[in-house]
This record gives sequence, C-alpha cells and structure tokens, in this order.
Amino acid sequence: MLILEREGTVRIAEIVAALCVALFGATTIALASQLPYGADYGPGPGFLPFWLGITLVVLSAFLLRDAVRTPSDADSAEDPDAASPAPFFHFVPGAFTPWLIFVVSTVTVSLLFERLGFALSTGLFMLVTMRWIARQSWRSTILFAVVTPIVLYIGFVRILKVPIPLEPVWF
Amino acid sequence: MIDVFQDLGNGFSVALTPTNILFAFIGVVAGMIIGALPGIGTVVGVSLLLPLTFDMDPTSAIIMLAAIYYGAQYGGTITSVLINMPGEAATVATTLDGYQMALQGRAAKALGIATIGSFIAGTVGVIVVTLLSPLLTTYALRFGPPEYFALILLGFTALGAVAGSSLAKGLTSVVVGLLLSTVGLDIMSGRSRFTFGEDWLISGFSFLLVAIGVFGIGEILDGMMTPGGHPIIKTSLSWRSSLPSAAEWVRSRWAIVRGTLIGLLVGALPGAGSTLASFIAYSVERNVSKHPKEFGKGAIEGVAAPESANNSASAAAMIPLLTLGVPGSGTTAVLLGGFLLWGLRPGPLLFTQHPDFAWGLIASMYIGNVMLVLLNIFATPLFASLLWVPYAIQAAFVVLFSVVGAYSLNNNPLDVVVMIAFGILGFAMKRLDYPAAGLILGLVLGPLAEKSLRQSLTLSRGDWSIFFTRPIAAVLMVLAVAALLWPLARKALVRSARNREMRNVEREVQRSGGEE
Repeated sequence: MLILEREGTVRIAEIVAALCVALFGATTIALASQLPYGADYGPGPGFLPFWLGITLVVLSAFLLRDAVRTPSDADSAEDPDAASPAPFFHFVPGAFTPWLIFVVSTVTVSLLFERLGFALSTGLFMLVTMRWIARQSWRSTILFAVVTPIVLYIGFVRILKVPIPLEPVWF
Repeated sequence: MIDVFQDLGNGFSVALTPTNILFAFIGVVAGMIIGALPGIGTVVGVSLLLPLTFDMDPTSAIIMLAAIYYGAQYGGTITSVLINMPGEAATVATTLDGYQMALQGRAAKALGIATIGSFIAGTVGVIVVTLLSPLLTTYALRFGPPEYFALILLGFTALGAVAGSSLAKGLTSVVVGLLLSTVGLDIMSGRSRFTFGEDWLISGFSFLLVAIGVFGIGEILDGMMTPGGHPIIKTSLSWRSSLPSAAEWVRSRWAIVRGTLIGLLVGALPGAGSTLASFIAYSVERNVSKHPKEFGKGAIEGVAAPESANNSASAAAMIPLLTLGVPGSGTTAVLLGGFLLWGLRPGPLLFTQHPDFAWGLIASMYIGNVMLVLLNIFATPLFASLLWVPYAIQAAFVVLFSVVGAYSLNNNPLDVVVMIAFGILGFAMKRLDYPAAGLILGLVLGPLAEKSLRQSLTLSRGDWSIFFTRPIAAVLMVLAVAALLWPLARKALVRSARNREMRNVEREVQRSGGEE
C-alpha cells in the first residue's frame, strides 16, 4: 500500500505567527500581573487575563512545533483532502499591483474619513477603485465616483439618520 | 386553554388590520436592510427607529419593531452567506458553512434552508411563547451563575467545530478573542483593564468593529489577491433553486428540530441570547452528525441548525421580557425602553391589563415570520445575483459600507482605524488558517463567561466544586467537557484503529514476502 509522502513545508509566516502569539501571551502575563489577582469577593480583574496569557504561551509552543515539523504519513492518510499549505503571499501574475492599490486606498480612506469628509473620501475611493482596480472606463468611473456618495448620503443620512462627517466638503 | 386561543385569535384580528400589516411589512424590509448593513446591528437599528414610534399606537409600534428584529436577523444571514460578513453576532455560526456553500454555487440553497429553518423555529418559538411562557420562566429562574458558566462552556465547544485541522490555532483564536473581551472597564471591580489610559478603550472592543474588520475586510483583502476574487460557481437563480433537494431536506430536518429546541432553551435565559444558542446548536449538530468532516466545508445542516437556533432564541428572548419585565437580550432591552415610552409596564400584568397589545405582539411575530418567508423566496434570487457584480466593485462597496458603519457606531474616526487594523489581522489569520470565528466566539462569549465564573466563585467562596454540585450546572459541565473531548477522542480512536490496520497489513506483506 503506497502512501504518497507529502513534502513538509516550513512556512516562515507560521513561525512568525507562533512567535507573535508567544510575545502577545508574555505581554499579557506581564500586564495582568499588575492587576489584582484576587479580591475580597472572589477572583479579581487580573485572574482571567493572567491565565489566558499563560495559555497563549503554552499554545505558541504547540504552534511552533506544528510550524516546524514535517507532517507524518498518518496525518496525510487521515486527512487526504487537506490541501498543502499555500505560501503566505500568493499572487496570480498581474494581481499584485491592483491588490496593493486596493490595500493602500482602503487604509487611506479609513485614516482620512473624517478629515476629508464623507463625500470626498468616498468619491476618491470609488475613483481609484473603479479605474485602476476594476478597470472600468473613465465614464463609469466618474459616474460611480459621483453617484455613490449621493446614494450613500440619502441612505445613511436621510433615511437611517446615521452620523457621517459631512465637513469639510459638502454642498 | 380555550382562553388562550381566544386571546390569540383576538390578537390576530388586531395584527391583521391593513395598517398593522403594512407596518409589519415595513419593519421586515427595513430590518433586512439594517441587518445586512455592516456596522448597523439589530440593536442600533431598533433604537434608531424607536423614536419614530413615539406617536404611534403602541400595538402598531411594537409590531413594526418586532418585525424589524426578525428582519434584521435575516439580513445578517444574507451577508454571512454571500460575503462571509456576519451582520449579527448570532449569524457568525452561519458563516462557517453558509459562505462555503456560496463558494460552491449553492448560495440560494443556503439562504433557502436558512429561511425555512428560521420560519419553522420562529413559528415554534411563538407557539411556545404563547403556551409555555410560565413553564420556561420557572426553568429560567433556576439558572444561576454556575449554570450560565457551564452553558457558555458548552458554547465554547463550538470551537472544536470551528478549529478545523489545527486545534492549537482554533484555541489560540478563541483565547485571543477572550483577551480582547477583557479590555475595558471591569464591571465587578471597577478597574479598567488594558486601556493604557485611553478613554475610548473603556468600553472595550465592540463586536461589530471586530467582526466587520476580521470577517469583512479580511476576506476582501484575501479575495483581492486573485483577480475576480474567490471563484464563485455561478448557478441558476430562480426561487426554486433555494429549495432543498430531498436529500438535503433529510439531512436538515433534524438539524432544524434540534436547533429550535436549543434556541428555545438558551434564548429563554436572560443574557444568554441567540449568539450562544447558535454556537451551541452548531456544535451539537456537528457532534451528532453522520458527516462531521463536511462541517466547515458547506454542510447544509451547518446552516440549518444555527439559523433555527437563533430564530427560536429571539422568540424565546421575549419571554423574560413579557413575563418578568427583564430583557433577555440587547434588542429586547431596547424594546423594554419602547414599552416604557408608550406607558406600558411589561410583566405578568401586561397580559391582563393590555391584552390587545400583548396578544397583538405575539400574533405579529407569527405574521412577521410568514412575511419573511414570502419575501425571501422572491428576494433570494435577487440577493444571490449580487454575487454576479464584478468582485472589485463588490469589494469597494463592502469597504465603504464598513467604513460608514464603523464610524456610525460612536462618531469616532478611531473606530474606523481599529476596524481596518482588525481587517489586516483578519487577512493574516485567513492566510495562516486561524479561524476568525474563534476570535469572535471568544470576544462575544467572554464577558458573560468571566462574569459567571467570578460570580460563581464568589457565591461559593472560592470553592470550584460549585460547578459540579448544583444539578443543572453539573449536567451541563459534563456535556461540555464531553463535547470538548469527544472530537479528540474520536480522532485518537480512528488513528489507533488505522495504525492497527497498517501493522496488520505490514505483517501480512512480510509474511507473504517471506514465504516466497
């Protein structure tokens, strides 16, 4: 009976993640120790976070072990449809730039949402996304960039009365 | 008994007036839209529309608000299935299999079974509320902190279902979620934890921000790595495609029954709510299923069970509100505010003093259910067709809605930044196979779990046996521990059986090789 051997893949990302978990756990333990562990009436505010921190450090050991070891035959026989792990950043050719633009514009719109006001940030975001990511024509792009803020305004501000930063650019 | 039916009939006659039907319809549609919008949950939606009802007749107002409540539940399901973004904490469990079904081209089926399950569960829920409120109230009153803690532990067993291949990763997600839930003001001691002097952290991390970030933004950032997004198999979108096939129905029907039951029992407990119910239902379903490996990959029962549970739990959450005047969940707390606004006092006297209102409400819950089914049979194809929009455009709108939703929570631009930070975390988690649902599980159940734990230990003066000496708590604890350990035990048993098989085969081969 032949069992296909699966290549063990050591993913740097997994190791980094495990270390981050360990670090997070250690920090938690440190911070939680500054809180009272017990109180007159029972466990104090430091009780749960402290033990959660310890759990995280223990878990990170397991995570590290899993990240480094080669999967055994038993594992692959048991779970034959577990796909071999994909690398962390896996881009179809040509997809990286749009993705990067998307990430940057998403982060930008979040940071500047209040500064620029809802209309401008929404409009600019749609402009960038439609043109350079969705590869729409200039006509569609302008259409989306102008209409979207208006539609969202009607929906959120007029109908739902949700607070939105209208300053500094609004009509 | 006859009285009850007479009163109910009266209630229906009140609820079925054209005005009230219109209000129910408006409520259901508005609720669905609110539930589907990220960042605007049921509680926010109901409280936004509450002031509008000030001048309305109380019966019409409560009918509309209850309809919104139901509609919002379903709206949350829609986004959970179509874009893996839970609109409600109660629909997080639905994302586990619902979104997978959507990726397989079975979005309409997922929405369909969710509607059917929700309808059945909601109807049963209403009937139970009508007939069995006193009984359920007595049962609910026997739940003290140890029982709550044991119940939540049962909810955490959903972790086993959520964890997929790596238990360590699943546990890590849950523990991180639990830690996130400790940030902010600690009610019991009055101290603020992990706030680093920042005022805006005092109330902790809102579920909505984390959910929109980790699920919504994280999913999109991952999807955008492939042009065209995640390949979604497109299938026919007629309303017929949302009905389950015979085989699917066979698998789902008991899931619906179990989910309904669990939802009723958990929802009737004040503070427990539909989220806990949905997780427990999912976990139970996976443990009793003949196809456990399919959970997390598009098992239809994985949608049927939690969806039924959260609907019957919503209905059951009305019970403490109506019988004791104690709200069973956040939304019912807002409804309680509404009652007071309209000059009504909830409690045992409500049925005798204002029968029209109380029975009208119950009748309208039933009508709301029916409306949802009709609406969704026709609207599901419409919603599923949203998937045909080019992925990049979908992604852009999701981002915009998320940003507006996040901002709208507290008018605080920092919330938007927090959401995006969680989005990046969600992206990393997705790439590394850490289950996002685990994070949410910890975040949502954390506060109640910790509170129950500390209260229990305070009650028992530090004696941990309190969890095993009280009968209900003991039963639940045993169930929870069993549910946590059963998947591990099963895996170990299978592995040892397989090893034994392999050894037998090797021995056979050696023997036959030696004989030649």
